[in-house]
Amino acid sequence: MRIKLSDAVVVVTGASSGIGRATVESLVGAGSTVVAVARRDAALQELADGFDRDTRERIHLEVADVTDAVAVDRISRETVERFGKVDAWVNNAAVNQYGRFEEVPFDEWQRVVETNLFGYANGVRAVLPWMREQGYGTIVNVGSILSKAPAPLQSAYVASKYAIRGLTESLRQEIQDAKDIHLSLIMPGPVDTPLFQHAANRTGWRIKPPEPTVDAARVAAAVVKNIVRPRREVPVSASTRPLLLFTRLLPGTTERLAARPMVASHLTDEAQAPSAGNLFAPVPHGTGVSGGWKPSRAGRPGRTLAVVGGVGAAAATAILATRRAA
Amino acid sequence: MTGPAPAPAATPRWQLASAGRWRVASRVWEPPTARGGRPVVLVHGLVVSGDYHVPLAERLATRRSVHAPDLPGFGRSADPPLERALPTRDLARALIDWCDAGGLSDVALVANSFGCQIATEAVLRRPDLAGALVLLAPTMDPRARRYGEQLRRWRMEMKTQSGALQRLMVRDYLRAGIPRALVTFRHAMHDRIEQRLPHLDLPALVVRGTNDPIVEDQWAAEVADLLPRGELRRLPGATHAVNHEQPLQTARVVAAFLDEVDATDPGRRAAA
Amino acid sequence: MTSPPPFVADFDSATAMAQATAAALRGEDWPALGNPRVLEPPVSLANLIPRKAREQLFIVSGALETTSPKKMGGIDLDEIGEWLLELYPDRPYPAVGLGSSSGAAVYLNAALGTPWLPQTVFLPVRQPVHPDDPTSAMESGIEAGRALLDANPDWQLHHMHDANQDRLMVRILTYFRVKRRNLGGGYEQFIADRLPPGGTLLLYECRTTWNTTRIGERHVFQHGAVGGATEQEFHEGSERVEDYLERYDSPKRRWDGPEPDTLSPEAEWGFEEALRDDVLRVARERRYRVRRIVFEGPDDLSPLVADLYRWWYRRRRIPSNRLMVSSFVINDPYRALRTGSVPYWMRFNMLPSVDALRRFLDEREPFDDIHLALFQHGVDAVGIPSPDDWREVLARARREGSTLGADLDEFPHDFAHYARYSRALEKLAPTYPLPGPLSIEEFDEFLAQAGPYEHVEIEDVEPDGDRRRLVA
Repeated sequence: MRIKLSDAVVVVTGASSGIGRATVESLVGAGSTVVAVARRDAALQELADGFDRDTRERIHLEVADVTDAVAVDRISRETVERFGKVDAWVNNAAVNQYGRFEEVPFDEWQRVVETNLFGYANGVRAVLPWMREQGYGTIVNVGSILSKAPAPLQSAYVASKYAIRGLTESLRQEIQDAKDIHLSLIMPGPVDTPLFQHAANRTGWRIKPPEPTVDAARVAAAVVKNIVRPRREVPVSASTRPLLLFTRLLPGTTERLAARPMVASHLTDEAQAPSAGNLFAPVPHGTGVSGGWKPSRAGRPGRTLAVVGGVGAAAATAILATRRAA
Repeated sequence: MTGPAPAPAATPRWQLASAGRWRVASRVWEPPTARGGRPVVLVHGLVVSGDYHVPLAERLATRRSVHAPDLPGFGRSADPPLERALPTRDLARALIDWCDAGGLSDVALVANSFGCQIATEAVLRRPDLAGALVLLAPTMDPRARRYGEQLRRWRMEMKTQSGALQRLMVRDYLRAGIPRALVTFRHAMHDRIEQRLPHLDLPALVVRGTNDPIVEDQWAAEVADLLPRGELRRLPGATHAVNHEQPLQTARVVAAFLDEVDATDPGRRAAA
Repeated sequence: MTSPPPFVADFDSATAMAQATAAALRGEDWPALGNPRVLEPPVSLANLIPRKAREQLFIVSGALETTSPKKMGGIDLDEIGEWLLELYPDRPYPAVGLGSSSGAAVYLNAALGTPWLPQTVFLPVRQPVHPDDPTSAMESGIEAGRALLDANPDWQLHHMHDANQDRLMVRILTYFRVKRRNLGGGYEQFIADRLPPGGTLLLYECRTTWNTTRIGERHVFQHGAVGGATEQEFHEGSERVEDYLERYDSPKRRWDGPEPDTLSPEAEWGFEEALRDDVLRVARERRYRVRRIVFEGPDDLSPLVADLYRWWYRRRRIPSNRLMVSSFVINDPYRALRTGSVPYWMRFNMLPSVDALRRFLDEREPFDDIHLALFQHGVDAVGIPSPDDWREVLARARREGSTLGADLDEFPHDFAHYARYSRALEKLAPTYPLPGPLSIEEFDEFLAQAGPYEHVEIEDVEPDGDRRRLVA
C-alpha cells in the first residue's frame, strides 16, 4: 500500500514554525490535505493565509497543546471524521531547555520531557487505532541526532529524544502484525529553526545552534519522502553521520571528548537573562521556518567549534594514543 | 463516532416486497446491538443496483440498520410493469412506496451519483421520509449537461474503477439491459436537481472524492450551498463510486455526520 | 593578560581590581596578585629571611616601579584607556561598570559578567623623603604635579602621603593618585563599542572624603589615608600615633602636616563628581540607564554583595555556607564562584575592617566554613588587629575556619602568604562549574527583596531623566 501524496491526509504537530511549518508547506505543495497542529492560533492563520484560496481548502488548522491527550485524541478522531482517513501523522512538536541539570528549575525540565515524549506518545496512541482500521499508515517521529549521541546542557531534550527513539523501536516491534503501518525516526543534526530562540535558557548566555545548520526545508523533505517510502532511521545533515559513527564505535571516548566542544558550540559570548522560553506558553515571535541561523547571524567565531571537527580530531587522537600505548 | 468500528457486520437478509405497483428486492443489515440511530436507506446510481453499496452498508451496519433496495428494473427487482425505463420522478415514487410499505420513515437517505437525483426528488415530495440526507458524488452539473461531456467524464471514471466494481457493473448492466440503461440516462439528463435543492430543509451532507472526474469540486460546493442546511466534505484520494471504492473512508465520514444529526435530534436523544 | 602602562603601580588597588575582574570575565583565576605562578616557590621561602631583611625586599620591589618626577610631563594617561580596551574581552555586554574602586564591586561585576573601568589610578613617583615629614613631601610634588596635569587636562591629581600604613614605601616614593574627570581617552570608546543602546552603566560612587590642601586648580595634597588611623589622628596626633612613631624610632611624636583647606574626595577611594555629569550625558545620548551605586566607604558595599552571592547560590541549588573573606587587592572572584563561596571584602586588614566583618557575621546566618585571605602590608601600623582578633572571627565557623595558608603569628609580615593562598584555594572542595552571568533582571529581583543596607544607596537614572530608588 503505497501512499500517494496528492491523495494523502497528513497531521503535522508543531506546525507553526521550523521543521513543522516547512513540512506543512511541502505537503501542501505536493497536493496533500494537511491538518496543522500548534499552540499559536495567529501563527497558524498566518501560515494558512500564505496560500491561495483553493489551496487553502486543503489546510485545516487545529490549536492545541500536544501534552493534552484529550485534545490530541479529538484531533485524530475529527480528522478521520472529516476526511475519512489519516494516511500519516508527523510527530514534531518539541521544546528545549538549556542549563545544567543540577541547577535548572525542575518543573521546566519536566515540561520539556512532557511535551517532547508524552506529546509524541499521545500522537501515536491517538492515531494508531485508525491506522489499524484502515490497514495502513505512516507515523513519522522527528527525533534528533541527540536521539543517539549526547550533548551537555540539554539533558531534558536529550533524554526525551533518546526516549522517542526507544518508543519508536519498541512500537515497531509491537505492530509487526500490521504490515502496512510504518514508524519512521528522522534524526536531524542542528537545524536552522526558531527552536533555539524559543528554548528556555538558564545558562546566562545567548544560545545558538552549532555550525553548520541544515535548512528546515531539507528536514521537511526527508519527512515527506518518508511518508511515501518509510525507513527506520533517517539522519539528516552532513555533520550527523560522522558523529553517529564515532558514538557507535567509541561511545565512552566520544561522550567524554565531545562534551566541551558541544558546550562551546551552543553558547555565544553574549549574556542573556534567564527565561522559561515557550515551555509553558507559546511565544508570539519566531514563526518562520528559519530561525535566521545561517552564517551571518550565528555569533562570534570564538565559540563556533564544529562538533565534528572537535570530536573527530579528538577521537582520532585518542585512537592513535591508545594504539601507541598498546 | 467514538472510535474505530469493529469488523463489518454479519450477512444481510434479502427481502422481497410489494410496494404499490412495484416488486422490490432489497437487502437489510441489522447492527449487532440495537442503538436507536436513524436507519439508513442506500440509493444506488445509474443502472447499477444495491450490490455496489454492500461495502459501505457493511461498515455502516455496525451501528445502525441499513437497507439497500434495488430500484425497479435494476438488480434483482422486477421490471417496471408498463414503461421500459422509469423517469426520475417515478423512481422516486417507487422509493417512497417501498419505504412506506416497509414502515420506514424519518430515515437517513444516502445516495450515490444519479441516486442523488432520485433521493432529492423523493425528499421533495415527502419531507417526512428522511431526517438526514447524504449525497455522495451528486450528479448532474447543469454546466456539463451535454451528452458529449458526460460521455467523456464517464469514460474517465471507468479508468478509475477497481476490477471488482467493473465486474459488478457489467453484471448489473446485463441484468438491466442496454436499452433501459440508455433511456434512464436520458431521463437523468433532463432532470433538474438544482431546482429541488433549495427546498430540502433537512441536515444534508455533500461528499466528493477529490479524484472524481464526473463531479467537479465547484459543483459539489454549489450543491452544498444550495441546500439550506448543507455541508461539504471532500474525501482526499477518493473517486466517484465512493461507497464501493472507498467504503471505510466514506463510512467514517457518513457515520460521523449521522451520529451528530442523531445527537442533536430532540426526538432521538432519548433513544440513543 | 596585558600589563598596565609602566607608569602605573603594580600594587595599585584599582588596576589590580580591574585585572581580577577581567580574569573572572575570561573564566580564569587570578593567582598571587597576578604574579606568575613560577615566582611562587621563591616567595614562599621569603619567611625564612629575617623580618628586617624582608622589609627591605618589599621596599626594593616597590622601588623598581617608580617614575622619575622629571618625566611626569611626558606621561600620557590616555594609555590607561587603551590598556582597558585590551584588558577586557572584546564582546558586547549588557552593562559596564565604572567609577570608584571597591573589592565588593569586583565580585559584583564578576557575577554580572561586566567590565569595570577605574576612575582613579596610582602613579608612584620617585622621591626620597622622610616618612614623618609630610610638608616636604608636598612641596617636592608641586613641580611634578603641574607637569603631569598640563599634559593631561582630563585628569586631576591627589598627592597622597601616608606615613602610617605605607611607611615602608614612602621612604622612596610618593603617591600620585589621578582621577578622570570625564569619559575621554578610550573610556567613551569602550562604552560605545561594547555597550549596546538600552544597556546599563553601573556607576560606583564612594563618598569618602578627606580634608586636603589645595595646590592648584586640579591638584590637592592629602596628608594621611584611610586605614587604621583616623583622619583626625593624622592632623592632630594621638597616643596611638605617639606609640607608633616611638616604635619605629622616629624623631617625631606626631605629624606636622600642612593646614588643610579643601574637602576633596579621598585620594584612593573617593568619587570625583565631575565624572558623573559626563556619564549622564553619554547615557542620554545612547539611551543607557545609569545605576548609581553610592556608598560611604568602599567596604560598605560588602554585605550587599555577600548577600547577593548567597541568594544566587541558593537559586542555583548550591549550598551557600562557605564564606571567603578577602582583603584589599587579594581578590579571586573566579575561585569564589568555583567553590560556591560567599565573598566578603575587607577594605584593608586593620581594626575597622575586623569590626565591620564582625558586625556582618553577627547579623547573618552562620557559615560552616570561613576562609581568610589577608593582605600583608608589612607594617605594625596604628590600628592593626592582633592575631587573636582574627582567630575570634575564624572561631565563628561552624565547621572549619582557615587562613588559606597565612601564618597569623607572622601577620602582617607574612609575605609568603601570597604564594600559598592560591594553592590553598585550589584545594577547596566541593567545586562547581562556572555559571553564566547573573542577569540585570535577576539583580533587580535580588534588590527588590533585599532590605536596606547601611551607608549604601542605589538609584536608577533612566535616559529620559526619571529617577528610581532601589536601595535607600
